[in-house]
Amino acid sequence: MQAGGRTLDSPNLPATTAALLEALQLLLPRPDSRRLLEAMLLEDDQQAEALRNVAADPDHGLQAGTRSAGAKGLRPLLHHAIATRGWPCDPAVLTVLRTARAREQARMETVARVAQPALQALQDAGVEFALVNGVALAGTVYPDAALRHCHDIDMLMRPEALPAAIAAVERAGFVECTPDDSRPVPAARRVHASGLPLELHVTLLPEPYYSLPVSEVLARTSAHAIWGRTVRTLAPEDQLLHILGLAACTPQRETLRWVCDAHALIRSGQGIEWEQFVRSTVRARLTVPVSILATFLAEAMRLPIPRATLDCLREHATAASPLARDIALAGARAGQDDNFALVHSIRSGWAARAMALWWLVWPSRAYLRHTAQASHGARALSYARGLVRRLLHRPSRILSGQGVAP
Amino acid sequence: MFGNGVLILTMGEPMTDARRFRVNMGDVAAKVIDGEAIVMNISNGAYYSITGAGAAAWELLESGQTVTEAAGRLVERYEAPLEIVMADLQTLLATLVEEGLMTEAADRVPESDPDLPAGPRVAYEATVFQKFTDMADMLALDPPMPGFDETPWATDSPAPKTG
Repeated sequence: MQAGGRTLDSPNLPATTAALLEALQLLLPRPDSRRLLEAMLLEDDQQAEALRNVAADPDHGLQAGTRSAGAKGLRPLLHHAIATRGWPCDPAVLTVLRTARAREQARMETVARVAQPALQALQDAGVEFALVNGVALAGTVYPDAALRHCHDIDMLMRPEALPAAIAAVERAGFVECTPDDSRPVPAARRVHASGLPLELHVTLLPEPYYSLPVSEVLARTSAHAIWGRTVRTLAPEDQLLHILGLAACTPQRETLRWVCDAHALIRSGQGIEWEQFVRSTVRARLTVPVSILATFLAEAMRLPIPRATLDCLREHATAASPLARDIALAGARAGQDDNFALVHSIRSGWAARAMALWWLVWPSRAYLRHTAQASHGARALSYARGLVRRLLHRPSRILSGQGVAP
Repeated sequence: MFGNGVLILTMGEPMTDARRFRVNMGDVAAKVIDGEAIVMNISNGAYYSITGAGAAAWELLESGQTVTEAAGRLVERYEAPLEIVMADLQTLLATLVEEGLMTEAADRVPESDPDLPAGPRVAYEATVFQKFTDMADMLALDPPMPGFDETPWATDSPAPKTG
């Protein structure tokens, strides 16, 4: 059992911890996605080998590898990798990748133009905020902003700044809009006439359990020039925590952007304070998923994350509470079609599978309180009903352990 | 020939042509990447690849040069007689107009000259123009659309879908 090449089944790990860490491998990219990421992000000979492997894959290939809904946004980055390396590529594939990049370049110019009045209005109103996520990363850590697809503008601020911020962006022409059910709910969402959404957040992450005081985060921000305007963005270690935290608890990780973002950030040379990163991760109670994700980045994506950081995260993850465990498992299931994917992802044996099944059906009381669920009985009954229904519909897939979509 | 086919433009009669054109900015976005002009019609999801001398021709026409001026610049760049270059340019223009990518603009003020690659003249590469329609979903991925210019088409529309 491995996380990006790192053996997890250490004899020192208790069976429950080993089972938990194995179940959480579900957070990581699937093998075909992993090959694509290696082709885009590895360096030198490793990248050449990865590109060769992807290009030779008859089922996926360079173009087909980005055909999934989530991975489409990665085409500019794939073009960047191929062009930088001078990789010989089918002209038809190159045209597709260039079109994706040209589209993103042209689109980013529009995003910049649309965002300017909102940024100006917020600064005029004296609202303290930080640009976070896509636009902040595109503007500060990617070699070309168009390599990072952004579907909205995200800003983080203190709760008490929210009313003034809403008023400011509305003055800048952003209007109220209906919520987007496919994404975590921000504190406020407004949309520009062009269709570009702007999301105002008062917490770093949508999962309330993973909390870090916003005032502390804002105090560590630094000023950057983005689109010719000076704006504040998160400290690199907070950026990384935000990237991994979103991957840990939202279906957005299926876009694979979290890997590219973390790669761009760590390779950007901004200087991550790793001790601060660990302190914040522990404080935000994110050590369980972040331990898995950071180990993947270090081992599979060859990113220079200090061994001491990984060991420290693993140590904290091993001592995680049942509530931390259950929330990490719930995060891993976010966006999964198959409720039992956690169980099916375990390959080391029936004991570990049984443990994962137990956590799924019978989580801790603290988790039930956290999610305001009625009782263990109701939850178990709900799962049992679902399982029976699926057995009746597709018994062969259930019995073969392939799982089923609801 | 269009669709997924290839159109190789051929010779015609050289002539003086003082017409200027502009890109249909509301619907069309374009970039030249690695010597290939990528032109996207956001309104219908079609995209076009222009390679050979046509990529440079696109840049010259996009910058507001007259057809004759553009042909002159191409002759400085490529080892080809003016009449061949001019004929190819005329055919390319006709196609661009037919596809709704450019329109004639008599009032167009030329912008600064695009930076074509410097150095000695190179062998002439005939323009290859291809049209594709297989990426409409990607081109319509997320708002705002490239080229958005305060056109409030979304004012009365429902909340945009984000991915």
